[in-house]
Amino acid sequence: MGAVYADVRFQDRRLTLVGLEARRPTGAGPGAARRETWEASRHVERGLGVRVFGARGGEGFAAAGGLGRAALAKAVSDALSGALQAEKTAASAVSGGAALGPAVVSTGRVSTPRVTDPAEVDLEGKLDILRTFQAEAFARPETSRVSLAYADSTGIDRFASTDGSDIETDSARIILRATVEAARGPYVSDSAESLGGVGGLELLAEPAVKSLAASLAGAAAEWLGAGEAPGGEMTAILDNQSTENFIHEAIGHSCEADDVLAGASVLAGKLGDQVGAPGVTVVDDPGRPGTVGRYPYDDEGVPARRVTLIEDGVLKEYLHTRRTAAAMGRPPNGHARARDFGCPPIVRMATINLEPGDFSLDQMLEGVKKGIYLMGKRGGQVDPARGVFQFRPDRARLIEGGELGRPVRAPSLSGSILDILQNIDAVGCDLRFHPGGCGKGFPAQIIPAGSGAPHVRLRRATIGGVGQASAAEAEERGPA
Amino acid sequence: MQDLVERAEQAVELARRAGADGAEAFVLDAPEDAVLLEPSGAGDFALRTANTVLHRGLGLAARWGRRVGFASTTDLSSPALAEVVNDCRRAAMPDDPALPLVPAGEAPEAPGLADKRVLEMNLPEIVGVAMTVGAEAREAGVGVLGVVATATCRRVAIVNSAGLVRSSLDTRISAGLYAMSRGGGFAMWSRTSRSLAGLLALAVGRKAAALARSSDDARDVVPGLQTVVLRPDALLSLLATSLGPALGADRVDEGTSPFAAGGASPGDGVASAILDITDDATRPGSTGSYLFDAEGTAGQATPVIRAGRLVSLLHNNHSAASLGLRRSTGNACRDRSGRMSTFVEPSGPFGYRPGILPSSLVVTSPGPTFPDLPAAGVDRGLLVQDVMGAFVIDPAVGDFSVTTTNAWALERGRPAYPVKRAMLSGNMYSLLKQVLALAEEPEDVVGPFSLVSPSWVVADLVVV
Repeated sequence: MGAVYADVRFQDRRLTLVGLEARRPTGAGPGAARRETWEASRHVERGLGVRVFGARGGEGFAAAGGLGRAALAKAVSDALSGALQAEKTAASAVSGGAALGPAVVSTGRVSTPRVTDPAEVDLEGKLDILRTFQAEAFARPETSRVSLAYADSTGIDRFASTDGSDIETDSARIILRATVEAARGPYVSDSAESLGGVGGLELLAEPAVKSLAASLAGAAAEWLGAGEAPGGEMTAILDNQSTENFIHEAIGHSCEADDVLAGASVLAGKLGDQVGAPGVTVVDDPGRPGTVGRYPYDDEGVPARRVTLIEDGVLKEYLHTRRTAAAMGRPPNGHARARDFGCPPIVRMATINLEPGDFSLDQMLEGVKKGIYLMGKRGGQVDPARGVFQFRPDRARLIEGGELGRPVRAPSLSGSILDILQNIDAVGCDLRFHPGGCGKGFPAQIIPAGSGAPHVRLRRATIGGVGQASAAEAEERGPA
Repeated sequence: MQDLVERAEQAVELARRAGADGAEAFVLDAPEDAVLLEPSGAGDFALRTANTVLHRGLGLAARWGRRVGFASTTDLSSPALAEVVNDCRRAAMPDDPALPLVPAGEAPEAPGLADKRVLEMNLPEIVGVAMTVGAEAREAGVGVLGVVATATCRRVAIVNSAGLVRSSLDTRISAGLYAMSRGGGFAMWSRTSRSLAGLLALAVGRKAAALARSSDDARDVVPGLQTVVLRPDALLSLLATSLGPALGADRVDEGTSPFAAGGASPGDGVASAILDITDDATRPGSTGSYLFDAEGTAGQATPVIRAGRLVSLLHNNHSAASLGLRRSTGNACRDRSGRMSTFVEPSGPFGYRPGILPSSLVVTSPGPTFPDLPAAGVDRGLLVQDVMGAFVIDPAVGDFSVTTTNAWALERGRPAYPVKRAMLSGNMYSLLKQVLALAEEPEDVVGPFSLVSPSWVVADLVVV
């Protein structure tokens, strides 16, 4: 068999991980001795991945550790063998040829901007950042535990293809994940958030680190002894991070063209349809500065570009690899991502966001007699084929009489994607971005992904709280 | 296998030459062949992707005095091994956790973890498995959105400076599909086995079809406190991020387990008196079994809950040594499960220091286990096949608020009608005490660890 297309991704990256954990006995004052543990590790992520396509669309992928000629030769041989077997398999004949569409030729060397390269800062310097956070968080007397995980990844990725692409990217990515726990008597509460993106250690500048520490410590303390959230259908206002989580799960995954092509997305066949309320505009932008999902070219060498998925409630586009774009007769839009050299690229989000509207939080609260305010994000999950998603915020408050009420423990929000997109009746004006991650694929590929959103208000949201919402309480919001 | 052992020995020797007082190397080579079929217009399946994903690398822990470092590499060349030793030394920090090493001892033996058929499988044969599974579902009268099959041959070598040399080979093969019936019922169903024959015997396609058809014409759930029957898939989803990690002595030591000081301790009642739970890595052929854990300690059976009372925690070598125990329970794992994720992470298990997880939680009862739900005394309630959203449960607290995937309203203990997505809310450590009975045939399901359990009949769960 002669291959009609081949590409290779070289990766030579270094990861540094630093964990710092400190506990203070319950009831001890701010100056009390803390029990502290930390650990650090360094990782070489070096290797190459080769893709080969045959004339009938058969695809082979193989990878090897290391960057030597022997590793390359073995990966090419294995990928060719895989493509050949795929071509011979009766099932592949149905796939047809021209699998990747028109040639894509990208060349150049790109270095993502950074002021302080993490590769040039030693472990003690990184530990100092964590200690700054820790000191600020323990300034709150209620703080009982601070858990911090720092990671940076620096190095070179190079892509070359038989189309003529040859791209080298020199990048750095930094994340700080923080959890602060508060304790008082029998009550324990915690709050968690991440900071970071594509760039240097300036992303973890002291003011930002201290601000996050104070914010999480304050939230953990305030939610001590929080009661149970009600359950049932009610009006929900989601803060920036909760909305990000909701948009990522409910819209982002449903717009991934591989699932759309397989008929495994409720948004399949709905291009041009009004799938959401007017005012709902969702984009995915791999070029968004500073975000953790930023990249100049995707893992097929396609220049990354901003894609408007939903505009004023109308479905405009899906996220594509070259293969899905060719299959749907669309141009590729730079959303092929692989976890690392050892995995093939698949359709992924980069940094998805809901565009801002006009509402302030106060305007959203106005007229909501009873409801719930969801804050932060712990994680979510979606089944695009069924059109069902759920996510869990970090914490929540009741809404009573148009005002934010007492803190309650965080309940999950679950819903039907097509229903809930129509139930967004207010979009806030306060767009913000946060780092996060995403898992998808067989086997699962877990990657950093950014997201951004303003506040939103949802009518008839299903909230999985332990307390039951009475019929009288449910959906009592008057005209906004 | 000798190639991996040699790499591990070379890394340990290089560390020794670099002045390390002790070192341990873990090497993994586990290429995963994965195929994805999708339906074609001709009533057949088209091969969408066929890939071999790489899981190969070495992790090295070494101690210089009181400083312990950890580093890993995906590059197993000799220069890269020298580099990883240097990285390990640079990462070594004072007062880091100690590095107790597993003594050499006798190599453990456990049969049935590798299947010759899986070892010899090539890509077309894996495609054939996926086609068989898809055809089963179609013959049962449902549509298929996609079929996945994967086969993995996992080779592991562990060498340490105390003279331990371990190597093992095992296999896993899995298949899963997304089925859709004419009445709108969906099912996403997958199963994993050590052997090809074991997987085919599970009739994954037929089971998925039956599940999809039984979910046709779903109705809204009736909210309120209900008796809920959790099938093994739902149980594993919930236990994987609660009881499973909470049983680890490392979490108890950190205070991130409900079994930490001030909470329950061995001997205390932590579950319904009808529950016995044993962690068992020695069941022949089980997906959760292993010859030795991620530090080289032989896999073993450890009773953890007896008649509802906590009788033991799970240990790796580090936790056992720090508590002065004679030996670990063989539960060291190298996995991202339960760790605070930054999403910027090593590409394989070799990049993680040993944590603690169960191998295979086997659930039985000191009393009767019932063949079906009416025999267990179930009348009205909700039967739940699986849930989504459980991965965000905090093991230290256990609060959950999850959404059902396939679920049915029960009347007189039998499924009366399928329900649309319902939410279940509560606390896992309370749920453990609300188990009324075990019923239906036990199943062996796989996640971060394995669970072998009948369905649990749970009293008074909040259904929204």
